[in-house]
Amino acid sequence: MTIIKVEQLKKEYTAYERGEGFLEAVKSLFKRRKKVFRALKGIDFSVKKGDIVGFLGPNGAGKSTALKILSGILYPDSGNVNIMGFTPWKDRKKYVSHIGAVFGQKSQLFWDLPPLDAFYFQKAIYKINEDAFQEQLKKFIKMLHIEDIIKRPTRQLSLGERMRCEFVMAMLHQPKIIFLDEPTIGLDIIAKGTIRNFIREINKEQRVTVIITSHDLEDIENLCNKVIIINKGDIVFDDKIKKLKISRKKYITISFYEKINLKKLKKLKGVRIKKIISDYIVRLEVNTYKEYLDEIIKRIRMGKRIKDLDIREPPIVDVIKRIYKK
Amino acid sequence: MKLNILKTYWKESLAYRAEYLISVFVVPMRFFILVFIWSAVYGANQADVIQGYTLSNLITYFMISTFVFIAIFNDVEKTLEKEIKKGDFLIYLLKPVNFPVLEFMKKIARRFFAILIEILPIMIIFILFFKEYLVMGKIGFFLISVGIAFVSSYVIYLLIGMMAFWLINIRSLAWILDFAIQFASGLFFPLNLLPPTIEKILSFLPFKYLIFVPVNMYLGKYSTGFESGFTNTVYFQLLIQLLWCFILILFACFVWKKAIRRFSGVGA
Amino acid sequence: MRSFLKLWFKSAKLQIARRMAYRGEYFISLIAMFILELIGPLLIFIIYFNSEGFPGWTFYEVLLVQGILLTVKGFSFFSFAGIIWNSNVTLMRGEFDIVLLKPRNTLLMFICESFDAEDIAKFIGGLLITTYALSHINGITLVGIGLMIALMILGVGFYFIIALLASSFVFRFIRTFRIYEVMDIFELVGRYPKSIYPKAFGTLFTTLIPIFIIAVFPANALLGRLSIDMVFASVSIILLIFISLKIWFATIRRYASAGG
Repeated sequence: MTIIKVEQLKKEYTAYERGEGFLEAVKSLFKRRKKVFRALKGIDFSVKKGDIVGFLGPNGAGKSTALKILSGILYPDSGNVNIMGFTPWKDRKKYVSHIGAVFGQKSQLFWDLPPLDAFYFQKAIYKINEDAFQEQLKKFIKMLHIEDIIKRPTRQLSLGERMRCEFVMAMLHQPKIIFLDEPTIGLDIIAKGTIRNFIREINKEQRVTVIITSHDLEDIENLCNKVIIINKGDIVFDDKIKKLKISRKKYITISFYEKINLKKLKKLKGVRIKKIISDYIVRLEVNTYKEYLDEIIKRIRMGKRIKDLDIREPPIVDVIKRIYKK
Repeated sequence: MKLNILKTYWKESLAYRAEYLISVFVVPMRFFILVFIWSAVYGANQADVIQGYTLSNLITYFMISTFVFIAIFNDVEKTLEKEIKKGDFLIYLLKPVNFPVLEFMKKIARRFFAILIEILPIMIIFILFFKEYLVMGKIGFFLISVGIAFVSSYVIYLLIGMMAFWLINIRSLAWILDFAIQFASGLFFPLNLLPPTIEKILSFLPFKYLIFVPVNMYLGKYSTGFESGFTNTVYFQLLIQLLWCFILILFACFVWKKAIRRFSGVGA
Repeated sequence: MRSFLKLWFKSAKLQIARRMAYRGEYFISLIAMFILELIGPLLIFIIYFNSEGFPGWTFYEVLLVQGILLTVKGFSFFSFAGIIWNSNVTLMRGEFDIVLLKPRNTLLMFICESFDAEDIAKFIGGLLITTYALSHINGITLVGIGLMIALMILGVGFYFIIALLASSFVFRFIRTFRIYEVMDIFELVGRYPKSIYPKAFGTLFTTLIPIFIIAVFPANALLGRLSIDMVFASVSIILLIFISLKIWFATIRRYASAGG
């Protein structure tokens, strides 16, 4: 059953530029330069009930714009959106009572007060009845292990603790769809795991449809059954996650106590030197498709002691480049 | 280096074009209303002089006091509080710069700008609309007095800011003090319009030398000769003003040393 | 409406609880809020101390005007005018999206979230000054009190208009806290009897910009000096409320199209 249908959605922004320097500042008093930025160039897609859909794309690709329009807080220039019979920006007041949202950068909690106070305020805003509220709250407290956290002032909580409470805020009124904009940004691995588990559970138990934007590939891989990749305002990929050939490449920055033998390093299979930082430090691109990471590292270190090691995902731009090539 | 600081603040100020327009709009408007009020008061009482001020004297007093206010007042207490609260103040202890002196340079740059873009346009508006009320005054001693007042005002607000070394939140307290200082300096009305006892008390404080005395110097209320006694001369007023300025600086140095010791001790 | 009031009270309770976490500081800022408002009464005192004051008005009558103004202003400021401050703050943090995300009328939701726990001091201070002035005025009638309160409510309407327009200005043009200085100008005009202004201004401030309704007219009504001006001003207030509501919603709509 289709729950979201989007057709020919377009959005442009107009920004005003101000130049650098004293003279430019004076000029801007009288005249401003206009710049048009096409955030969405007419995208189409649809989402089925119970899906977890990932919006992927580099910064400024248009994924946040799309999410804002879908959640009813931004007017598009043209195009149609039908979500559960509503047009989000036209029926905003009615529509938003059926959705929840977590914007990673914007908090719905009150800085100086415990999250519990914010939950009760949310209850008043959404006119949730007492029994349903208590039942939901109890369930989320158990799922997210936040019994003690919700009574402490928000400003004393860690980012991970706060994020768990943001999810409660977004879920208390039992929304049918939940929009997540960078929900794991800045979190450590353990906190990310808790959040991902929670998303999976509410999706399974309450059949909540989840739309998630992230530039963390792991979020998408772990959660989504469908991926939409947006780049420069266009959809460049819209299919099941299995169809997406996710890069198994990793970026490794490795630092030794001794000077590196570059000649030998260059000859290694499945290892490419990205950058020689010094005689001791080098950045490599490795392919973990055929070989386990620990084995690759064993080959790279060639019996030498490692001083420091940093392993990263390749940036999302590289993944998108690969889609273009096909 | 100094020129660079100046340039930065010019640019920063220009960025607030709306704020600028607001202040160029607000000050003359406020003045219009003042003129209405006092014209009505003088008219209804058929009085030419109230406490030694003719209507034009009084209107000129309000105009010049507004200019002095724009020229000398600063918000160094807010800057200092912010730096302490954010923890950025530590940087000043590590760098070979002195916070009070550096801020003073910045404030001069800012005030210089304010005089150029705020006072000049407002002055033109005043001259256009209120010409008949304005009195030409004695500029020389007035400017010297404003110069001293600028330093005193900076030191006073620096002292208020220093409270942040001991108290967690000084915002509200600073508001009250700011208001009290504006009142005691004669920004709202000439101090001799107050009941004599209150005026007497205020004359023992340094604040009246921020606005009241400079403005009266402009209006020629103090003599340049010694006919009516030394205490009524411009020289005596300048001397006292200078004396207060030194006392304030010494006091500020003393408190600053204590504050730094406390700040390093707590290690905040 | 009832559900809005419930939400508003809930928000008020939360905001006060928030401030009570730092009790001492809250107390001092309440005092500060009141003291800063004393400049109006102080100037009146100075005028009457040195002269006969305004023709046709005694000291206590003009003090009553100051008290009424502070009461009306205080009520407006803590109950809804916080949207001006909040417009600045939410735009700075880019958090207006959160308001739009709530299944409520945007304006009412925004007002609820903008309750100002400090400005209660203005309201209470205003009531004190009003009561003090009233205790020195003879011949007060119940009808007079009733008319005064009715006009004061319309005075709150004036602040509502100002709050909507100031908030719209902040959304449409630029974030600035100095917008309050512009508001102060209106307030300064409203502090003094109509008779001190030139005729053209007097007419302007009773019709197009009916500032006198925030204090001078209520005081006049209490003192039994009724005039047709009050009717003009009241009609104008109601019309202006409709217009400024239209402007505010159009501004928000525009903001939601520009995406912040």
